[in-house]
Amino acid sequence: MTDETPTKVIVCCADHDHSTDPACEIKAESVVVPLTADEIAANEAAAAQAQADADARAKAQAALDALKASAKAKLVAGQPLTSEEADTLVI
Amino acid sequence: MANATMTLIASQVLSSKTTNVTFSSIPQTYTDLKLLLSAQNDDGGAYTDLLFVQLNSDTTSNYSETRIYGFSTTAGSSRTSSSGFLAPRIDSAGGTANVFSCTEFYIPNYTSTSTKQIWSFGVAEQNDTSNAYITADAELYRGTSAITSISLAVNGAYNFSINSSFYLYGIKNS
Repeated sequence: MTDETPTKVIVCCADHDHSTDPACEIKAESVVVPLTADEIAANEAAAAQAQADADARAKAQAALDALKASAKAKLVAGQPLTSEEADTLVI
Repeated sequence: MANATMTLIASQVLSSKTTNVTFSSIPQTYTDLKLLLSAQNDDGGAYTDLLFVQLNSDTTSNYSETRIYGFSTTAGSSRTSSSGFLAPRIDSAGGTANVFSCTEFYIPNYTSTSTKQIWSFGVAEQNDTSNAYITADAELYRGTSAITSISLAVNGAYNFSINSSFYLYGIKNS
């Protein structure tokens, strides 16, 4: 992310004269407008949630990979597997 | 015999980067909508990021999707439910320079006042051998109003890059 003011683009799809039709909310075919403080805050929260979700997925994948590695090592060594390790082998 | 027609409703090619592109006041005179985009985002720390799509400015948990994907040599599937569709991945600035993803949404019966089933498909190519991403999503929108606006963003609140392009078509029988 940068320090530039974030913007959004709104495109009016209505088939009317954008400049004169009272129904046109943006009075143009498209406009670029700065985000409001609420929208910026919502974006920052979304970014934090996206990062948290990505971290959780990475953590879950790492745990699964570790279980699989442990299961493989025990199978090769002829040792009993835990239930969690066995689950990684069952399709 | 009726002839199917596909009409460009509106388009947008970005001349500056932006966090959000919204198609508003969508005419209710077609049977289906088709949305095509060629896009990249400015996340310098990733090869790809998910699109985030909301309908009718609805920020409630009315969205869910089941996806199948292929990433490099790995295939998988997953399901999510959120306050917007976590739709196919698009290319990020952290990947190969000047590469834009291709994504398509098909929205049948968008004027319906029942729940809506949507389909999307996307490819985020990287011009390399290990980071291409392909995704197909089956999406369910539980809102019961006709779709009058579609808003697209990048999950994580990154910006769409300059020259990202968006095309909304209406489909109906003539």
